[in-house]
Amino acid sequence: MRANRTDLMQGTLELLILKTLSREQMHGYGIAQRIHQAVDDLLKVEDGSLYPALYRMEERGWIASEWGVSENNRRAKFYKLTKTGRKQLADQSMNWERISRAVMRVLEAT
Amino acid sequence: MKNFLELISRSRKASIENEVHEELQFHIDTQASDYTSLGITPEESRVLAEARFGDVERIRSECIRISTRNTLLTWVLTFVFLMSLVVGLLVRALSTEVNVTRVGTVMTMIGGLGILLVYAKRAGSMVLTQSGSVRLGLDNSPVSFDEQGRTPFERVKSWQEGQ
Repeated sequence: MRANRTDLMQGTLELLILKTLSREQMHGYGIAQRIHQAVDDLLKVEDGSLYPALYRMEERGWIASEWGVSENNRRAKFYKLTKTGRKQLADQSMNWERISRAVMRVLEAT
Repeated sequence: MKNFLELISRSRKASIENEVHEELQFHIDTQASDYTSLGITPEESRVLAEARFGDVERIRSECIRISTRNTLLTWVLTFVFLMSLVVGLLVRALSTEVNVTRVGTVMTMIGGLGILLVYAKRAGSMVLTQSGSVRLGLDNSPVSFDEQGRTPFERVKSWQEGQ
């Protein structure tokens, strides 16, 4: 485990989840695995913290869920991106890009 | 009426609790199974999976709280609109007074429209977009990558390492 892992900023987890689900529907465990692979352990993402985020996102209508059968033949809850969620992903990505650019400018200027 | 709503609420909450429990248990079991397939003993796998997951009880409570507030509101609204629809129809059917019949018509319309709105909100969140056209970190991604394929976060990190 890397010592210099970065804690997730507020709202970043939702963006990671939205991005992960933009590819295909997944259950919570699959989402966690995909995020761990993608961030290559640079970000500290506690698996359990995904679930309250998933429930909040479903409440807001960004994602929808349905029960299905997993690859290990067990009942699992699968999440999909909704139309609202896809718009949210585009908005949040743009926002993240803007913040990132602004921070880079400040860092380069000082 | 109050008892009826409480009964519905309790039954719904029990169902939510079971679903949350099943979902979280699936995650921990699958993680433990993956560890076991790497050659770790089942006991150690279970401990590692639970540690990686975090505080199960806190997460379970949080999920139940979020899920309950959402479904309870939907149930109450549906019930109120349904009652309005039924009472409105009864008033229209049983009353001979024109003014009372109008009240029945208004109640029927409010109930019907309300149920439609609740249904439309639920259905709206279920309208799924086509999947498969956007790939993680590849073309067509809403997250912008630079010419070296780095995410904004990677660019910041790379810049920091260069200092």
